[in-house]
Amino acid sequence: MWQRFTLYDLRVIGHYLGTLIMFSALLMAVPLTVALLFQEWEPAARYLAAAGGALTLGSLLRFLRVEPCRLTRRQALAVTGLAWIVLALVYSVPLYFSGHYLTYLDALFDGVSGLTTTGASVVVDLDHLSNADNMFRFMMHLLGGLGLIVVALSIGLFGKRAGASLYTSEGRREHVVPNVIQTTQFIARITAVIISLATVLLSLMCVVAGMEPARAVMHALWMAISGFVTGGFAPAAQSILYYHSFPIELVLIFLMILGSVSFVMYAEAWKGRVGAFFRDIETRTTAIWIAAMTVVFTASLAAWPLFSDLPALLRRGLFMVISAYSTTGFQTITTNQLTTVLSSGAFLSLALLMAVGGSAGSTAGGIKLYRVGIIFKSIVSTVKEALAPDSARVVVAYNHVGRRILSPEVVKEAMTVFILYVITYALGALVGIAHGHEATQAIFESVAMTSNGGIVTGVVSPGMPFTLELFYIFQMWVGRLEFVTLLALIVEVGASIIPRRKARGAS
Amino acid sequence: MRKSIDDIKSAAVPPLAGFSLVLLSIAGFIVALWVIITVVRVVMG
Repeated sequence: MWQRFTLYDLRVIGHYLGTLIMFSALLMAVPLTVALLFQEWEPAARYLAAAGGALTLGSLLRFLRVEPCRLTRRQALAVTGLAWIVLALVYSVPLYFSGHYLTYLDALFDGVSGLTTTGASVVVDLDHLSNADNMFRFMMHLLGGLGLIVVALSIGLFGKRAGASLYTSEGRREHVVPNVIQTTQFIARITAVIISLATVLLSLMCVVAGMEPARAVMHALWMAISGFVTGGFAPAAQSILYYHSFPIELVLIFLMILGSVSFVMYAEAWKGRVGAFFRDIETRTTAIWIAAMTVVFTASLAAWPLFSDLPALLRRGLFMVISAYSTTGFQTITTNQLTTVLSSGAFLSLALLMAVGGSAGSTAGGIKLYRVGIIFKSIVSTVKEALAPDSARVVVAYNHVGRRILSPEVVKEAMTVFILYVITYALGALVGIAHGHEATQAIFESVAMTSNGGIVTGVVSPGMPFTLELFYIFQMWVGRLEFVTLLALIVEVGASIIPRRKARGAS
Repeated sequence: MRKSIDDIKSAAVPPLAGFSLVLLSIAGFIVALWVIITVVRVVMG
């Protein structure tokens, strides 16, 4: 029988959600500061009010249970699953009142898109959005990319003991260093270093390209955040095409690849163990996968009569391949060109790249190359078993933070998540088609949402049908949490709501 | 004094070496992708 939530469970969950919401209010201090610096008084007031509202809501929720004890695994799953939607609800309020969204649902879409690092946006007139609002969008990226729970744990929000079950419920399994809190702090530190370096570099490039210094720094910071957490929001409506700068594109390609490398690999490199990096099943799958897809993508473009002799398109091609692979969602091809200029083969290659995504334990989304590698190994093992004599015991090993033996549990996990992703891709495509969209576009968009890729072709637009928008929001949410947390939460809630059947033979 | 310099050295060298190698390999990979693109483009005309 399914386990139900007791009232006590709900009170504990409420307490921790309250803690997270109060913490989220802290995040609003960043756009508030930016607003004050740039003397944008209206956004400043808006973020002050929103922070106040969040603090009030958070502290009220905390009263549900004043002295919480350690979270059980079930409660942790519920806290994580709910945190992602509750925070999106809270964050979309100040966004909505910026006046750049047609409906509240549009603002919520952007909130979820920001937190799940999808990067698709339905904001109207992005080029005139205030600095504070822009800053807030990228802070959502940063928070969501690292993981709400990772950030909360790294600053010790849940105390020393509540950590482990929360950590694993957010689609992270690997521990960089034995202790969860230290792991999260390591992740935060690496991120801070890379983003600051990239910001300096990009600011210089923006200044050289002719931007005024303050604007250059802000744009650089935003691009650095969005690139490294493989988010995809850009400060300009034309995305990265806006800058028309090859050096900037090159730095972003680098950042996106860095963002789609597992944090575990950073830890290995930090300890000087570079061999582990190159032997890792993920690194190898990644290299083969990107190389193969680049060939397919380029061949498809080169055979296309329209633009085959344009070096610029190939430069953009490489950028788009990396952007899709890392599920960032930056574009150097306009939304319109995606469907009109690209050959349909190149278009579908991008969708496939997004569907598979980057490394597990990185900020990238999608099925993850780790799982693809594991499934491939399992095929190898099946063939080996078929060929081996009955008495032989087939052992297939792979490298992932040390040498490991392929076990049925690992294969089962990889297969389950793989299948769930594929089903969600297909379902989303059907929903898109049902709303009257072109099949290829519907498939592309569905993949872009579930894998948190965020390259859009125009199906996602301001004021889209609310049923489609709701389904996309759901897709982004399940994709980021990698299904298990969310399905468990839905089952739990369902089981708690449906009245208990009388036990047989009770009367 | 001598010891503390050694300490700093031993703490700083592995991360620097590790990261620069990883960054170099990614750079190499991007260059390799470029080569692939050019080759495919030439072959496909």
